[in-house]
Amino acid sequence: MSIQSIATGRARPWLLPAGWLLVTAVVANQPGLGLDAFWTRQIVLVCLSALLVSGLNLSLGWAGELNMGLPAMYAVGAYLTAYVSSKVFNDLAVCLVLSAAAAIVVGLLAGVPGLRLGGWMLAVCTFLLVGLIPVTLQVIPTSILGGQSGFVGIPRPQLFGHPLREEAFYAVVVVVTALWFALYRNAVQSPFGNSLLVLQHGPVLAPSLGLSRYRLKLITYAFASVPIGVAGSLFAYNDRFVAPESLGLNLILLTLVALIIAGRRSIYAIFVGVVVVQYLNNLSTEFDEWSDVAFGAFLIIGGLAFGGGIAGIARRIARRFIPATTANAAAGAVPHLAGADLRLDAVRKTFGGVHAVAEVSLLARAGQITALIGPNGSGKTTTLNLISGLQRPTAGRILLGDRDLTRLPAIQVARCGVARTFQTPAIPIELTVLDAVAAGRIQRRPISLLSAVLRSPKYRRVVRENREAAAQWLAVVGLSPVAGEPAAAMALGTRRMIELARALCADPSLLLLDEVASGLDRDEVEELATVLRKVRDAGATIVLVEHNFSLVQSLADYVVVLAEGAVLTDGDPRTIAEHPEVLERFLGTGAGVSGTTLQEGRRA
Amino acid sequence: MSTAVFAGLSTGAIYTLIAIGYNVTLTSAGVLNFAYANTLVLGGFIALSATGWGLPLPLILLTCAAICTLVSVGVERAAIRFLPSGGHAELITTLGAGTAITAITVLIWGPDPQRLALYEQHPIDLLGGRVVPNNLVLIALPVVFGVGLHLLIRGTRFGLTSRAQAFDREATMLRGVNVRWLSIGAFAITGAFAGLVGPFVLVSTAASPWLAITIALKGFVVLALGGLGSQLGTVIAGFLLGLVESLVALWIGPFYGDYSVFVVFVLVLLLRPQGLFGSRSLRLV
Repeated sequence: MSIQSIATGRARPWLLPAGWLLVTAVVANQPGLGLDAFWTRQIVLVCLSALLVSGLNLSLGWAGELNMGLPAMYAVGAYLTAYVSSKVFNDLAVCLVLSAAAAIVVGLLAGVPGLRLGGWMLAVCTFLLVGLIPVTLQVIPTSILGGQSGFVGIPRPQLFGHPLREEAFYAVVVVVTALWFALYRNAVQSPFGNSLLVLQHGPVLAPSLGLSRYRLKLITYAFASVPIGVAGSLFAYNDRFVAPESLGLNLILLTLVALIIAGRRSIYAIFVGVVVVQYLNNLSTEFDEWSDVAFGAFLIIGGLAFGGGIAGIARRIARRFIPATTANAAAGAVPHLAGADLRLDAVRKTFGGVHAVAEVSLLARAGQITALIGPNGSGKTTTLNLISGLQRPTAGRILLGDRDLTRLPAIQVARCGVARTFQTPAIPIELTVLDAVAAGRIQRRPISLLSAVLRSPKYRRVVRENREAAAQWLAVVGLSPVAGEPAAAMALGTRRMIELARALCADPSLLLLDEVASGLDRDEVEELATVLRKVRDAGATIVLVEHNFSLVQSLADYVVVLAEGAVLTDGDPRTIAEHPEVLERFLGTGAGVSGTTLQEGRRA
Repeated sequence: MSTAVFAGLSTGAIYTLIAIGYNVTLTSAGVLNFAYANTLVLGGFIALSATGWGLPLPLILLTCAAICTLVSVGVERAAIRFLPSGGHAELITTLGAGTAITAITVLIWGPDPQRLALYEQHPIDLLGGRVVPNNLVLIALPVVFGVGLHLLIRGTRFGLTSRAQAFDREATMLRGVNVRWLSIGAFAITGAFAGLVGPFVLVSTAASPWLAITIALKGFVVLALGGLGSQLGTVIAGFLLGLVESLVALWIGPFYGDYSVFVVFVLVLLLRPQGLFGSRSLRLV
């Protein structure tokens, strides 16, 4: 299979939309199915809950933040629709749009401050919103929203001036839900969704790929408010009565339970989760008192095992029967990389009173490999962190070409063309090898959520180009055969190569490699050296932190030796290998042995 | 005015008592225990039954503390012990535990608010305002327990290992500290605490099983305001929040108290994310 065919992905791309359209058409046809009032209501409720669960899944599953404000957004959608339809202008489409917009505003009210800290701060901040619902209903005069006793007198829905009969409204609910799920699926199965998976890997990886955690979470959070507001609006029209009792903590509990059954980051399985919860809920009216105990117990069990859910099981089965795409491309050509000289000028970093980097000045030239060596604790990794902006230097200057990187945060440094690998490979879960590599390019060729959702021509072009670039780098590092496999499950050596390919996929001018050869076997080290030579010849600046001196000797054009946070000496590898102090202190008498065995225990 | 200040201080005291409980598990076990407020309310209801049996006050409190300790340790075993590392799964599991505890409270004592009376309540005049004795007890409780727990965390081996654990769990384990026992210990302490103060809280409010949600929420706000890990900050922040809520309700209108809490919380998040008295380092835990 060629690079082209890896990059374009799935065969028969029309199959999924066509199938979804068919399912929607069948379900939306109420008279055709011969549904009575009970079943019509059940399906409407399933649709509404599915909208809620997808919203919760976007924030909890994809952005990794628990949003407890769901009832508040739902309430805003419901009450806005109730008010507008009965007192201003009765049109379903208008109310849906207004409700979605209002839900976003209310969501952001708690999201903007809460997401800065995330975790339970967001949970509390959004939960406070829920507490404000009954208070707000008491503050607003009863003549407007009906106060504690609820809003009555919502008219039958109209669409573009035509009153909707029951089966037509039912069809609208089904179609709106189906449409939202298509948008939701498009949003998460895209580079945007992939960047959310990168986000889940922790606070370090996303910024070093140039992705802003706060921005991504905020966008996802706003997007997640849309289905919740829409569901609120449809709920108001369906029941034609809104009461504050239906908007409490119970709503979030039921939604959480459904999400747990469906599985984190699920799409279609959400419907299964919702149906199960609805079934249980219908049962529980018979023994109402025990249902909360059961739900509580379920939350404990589900929370402990929160993971794949039904979606995860389905994925595991699918993987068994559908072989992953593999390819045997010829070794790929390396594109030109515009390297820039890296200059460190008396850079210093202190933690409290400890000088991690006492004073380091060095020059790494474009088109050369510069190796940083030294014993553990000599400040090599700290130096890399200072360059890539993960830590700020206490003093000194860092220049890349003409650009001053000294005080830039990691995101900005990454956007200046600095890519790096980590001592422990940072590979997000659930991504294929190809997508993990393409993640290096998400920032370089950004795609707006809107164009991802609409699958615009620009989106298709950018995604194809990014995947082609990723496929090409995979070929360079020799990983084309595993392009379709899950990346995080690979062996250590493979994950190091994936990380290297991801860094290269950003077309970096400066490549920072942190002990990229450790844990690799002899063949892999040899392959790595070949790749790095190609990259150097393509023009990039490479800075390599390495313990394996024989690799350094064969690879580096220039070596900087660090000791106790300062430059001990520098020069070409041969000079370094003969430098008496280096010999004595790090290399031992038999120069050329791996430095890894020396003073291993001192790493903090 | 004085009456409103007393009212504010005693609601503030309730919030503080909740926040103190959260703080203990947060510093010692590294998890936030949503179910704590539910346990506290359960404690109040046990007192309701215990007064029915005609027990003297110390015995009532002892019974509540004992049962709540068991419940709290049960929460730790069920909802925390097998947590996967990373993520905020404890938010979900302890929320589940809390839901179950409240549901069981409803099963045993019914859903309707009841009156709990531990001792005679005659309002007394004090500093130009009227206040019931229980509110004075409530105001004293967080001060006493706050200082006590502060000393426990600062001065004992349990406190030292707890703080070490919160700072770096792995390194603490490698030092030979049994962090699981630390976690159970923290939950047992908060359980006993919940049982001791729960009755006083429920005397002041109506004894409703659903009270837990409201006070849990305000407790979180106090925790964030005071700063994670700071018991003294929690005490000060709790009283402040109670005062703000009570005075806003007095001056602007009875329904705006909750709004003022939200506004204060958002402002603190934006301007001083580490809390008024918190240390930055714990924030990353």
